[in-house]
Amino acid sequence: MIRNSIVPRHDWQEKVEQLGLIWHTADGQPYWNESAYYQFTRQQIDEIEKASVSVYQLLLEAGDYVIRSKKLNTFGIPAYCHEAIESAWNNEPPALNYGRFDFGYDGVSPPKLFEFNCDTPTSLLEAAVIQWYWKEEVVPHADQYNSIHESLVARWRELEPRLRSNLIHFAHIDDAAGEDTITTTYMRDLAQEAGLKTQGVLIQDIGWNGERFVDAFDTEIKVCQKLYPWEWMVNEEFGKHVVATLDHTLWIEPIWKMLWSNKAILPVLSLIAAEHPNLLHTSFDLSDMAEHENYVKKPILAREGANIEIHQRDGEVITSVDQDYGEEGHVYQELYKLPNFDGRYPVIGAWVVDGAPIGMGIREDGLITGNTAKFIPHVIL
Amino acid sequence: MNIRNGLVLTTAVAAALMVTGCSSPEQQAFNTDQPTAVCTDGSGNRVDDDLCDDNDGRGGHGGFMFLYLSSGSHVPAYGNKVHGGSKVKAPGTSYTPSKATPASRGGFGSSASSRGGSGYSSGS
Repeated sequence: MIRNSIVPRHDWQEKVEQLGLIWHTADGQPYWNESAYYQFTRQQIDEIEKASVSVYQLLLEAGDYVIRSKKLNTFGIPAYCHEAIESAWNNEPPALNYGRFDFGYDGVSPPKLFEFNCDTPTSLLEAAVIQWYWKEEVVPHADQYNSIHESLVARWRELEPRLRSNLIHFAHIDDAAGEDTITTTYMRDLAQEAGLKTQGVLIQDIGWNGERFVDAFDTEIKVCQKLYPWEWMVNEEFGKHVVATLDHTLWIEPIWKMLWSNKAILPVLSLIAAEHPNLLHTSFDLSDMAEHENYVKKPILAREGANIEIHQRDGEVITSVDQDYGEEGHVYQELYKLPNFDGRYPVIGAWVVDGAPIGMGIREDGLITGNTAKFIPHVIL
Repeated sequence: MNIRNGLVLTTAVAAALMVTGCSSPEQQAFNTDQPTAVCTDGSGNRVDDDLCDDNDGRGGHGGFMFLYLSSGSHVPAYGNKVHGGSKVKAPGTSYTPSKATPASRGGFGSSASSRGGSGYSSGS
C-alpha cells in the first residue's frame, strides 16, 4: 500500500478535541498523526475483509476445540472460572461480540494475524469517528473502510430485546489521559443512540452489597459494558462474585472472551489450520519453531506490546518494555516482515462485530507496536 | 449517518475533562431503579442529602426538603433542577436516599493501579 505525507490541518488539535479525542498528543508528539495517511485499493480492502471473515471462522473452531478438549488450563485462567467460560461459550449470552484483529499486511501477500483484541479493544474513537471526519474534510473524494459507528449502534439495537434491563452501566478506569474515560463515554453514546439508557461507573466504585453489584449510587448493575480486562477482574477481590452472579449481572463482553483475547488461542489456530494463509505459525514450544529462524516470544497475557522479544537468525534479540508480564506463560510466533516506510511499520487494526468486518484503523510504530504507536488515517482510492 | 449527532456524551465529557482535568460532573447524575429521595434547595435544585431534615416529608431548615422520585427517574448532578419529584411520598412506598450507602467497594481496580493504567492505545 502507499503512504502519503500531507500537511496537518492548521487547527487539527481543536478539531479532534471537539470530537472527543483529548489524548491526541503524548510527550509532546502527536499520537493522532495526520501528517500522513495510507492509501489502499478496493482490492486490498477486500483482502482485509476476507481475512477478517476467515480468521473469525477459525476462531469459532478453535474455541470449540479448547472447550471440548478441556484445555483452558493452558490459558492461565483461574480454575474457578472454567465452568463459567464453558457455559457462556455454549449458551452465548447477549454480547456486542466486537473486536479488533491486529494484522500484518504489506498490500500484496495475505494479511497475517498477530492477535485478536476482543475483550477491551481500544483506538475505537480514532477509527470510528476521528479518521472519518479527517477524511471528509481533507480527502472528501475518497472512501474509507469504516462503518464502525453505525455497525455498533445497529448491534445494540439487535441486542436490546434480549437484555434484562434497558439501563446499561459502563465501567472504566479514571485514567489520567482521559482515553479510557472518553472511549467508554463514546461506547455509552453508541448505546444511547440505539435507545438505551446508560450510566458510567468507575471500576473501583463498583460495590458489592452481599448479593449484587451496585454502582456509586447503589443502583443495581444488571448489564455492564466494561473497559477493564477479564484477566484482571478474575484475579481481584470481586472476581469470585462476578462468576457467582453471572445469571444476575450481564457483562459485555462475556467471560468466554477470555478464550479469544488470550494469545494461547494462537497455537490452537496453528494446530487446527496449519497452512492457513492468514495465520502465522505459533506454538507453545520453542522446538516447533525450528523451521522459522526468526520468531517472536510473547506472553499469553500482556498489553500494549510489553514484554515481547523478537529473535532473529543472526542471534539479535529485540525486546520491548518490561512491564512484568509473562507469569501465565508464553507463545512463540513466526516473525512477520512488516512493511517498512522509512522506519515506520504499520499494523492493521481490523474491526469486526459478530464476525462481520466493519472497518479498520492503522497504527504505526517501530518493529514492536507499543503504547508509543501513532494512529494514522487511511483512504481507499 | 450523521455520526456527530451520536456524540452527545463524548463531546460533553471531553469538554469537561479538558476544563477540570478530573471526572466530569455529569458522572454525578444517574438514573434510579428504585424509589429515591433527593434533597433539594428552595429552588428545586439538588443538594447534598445532609442538608435535609431526617424526618419524612417535613422539609428541612432554610427551604431544604426531600423530593420523592419514582423508580426509573433521573437524578441530576448536584446544583441541577430535579424534575418529576413529589413533596410527599407515595403511600406504602419506602424511599432510598440518593447518596450511596456503604456497600463494600474497591474489589476491582487494583491490577490497574499496580500497572499504572493503560497507554495509547491498543487494549486487548
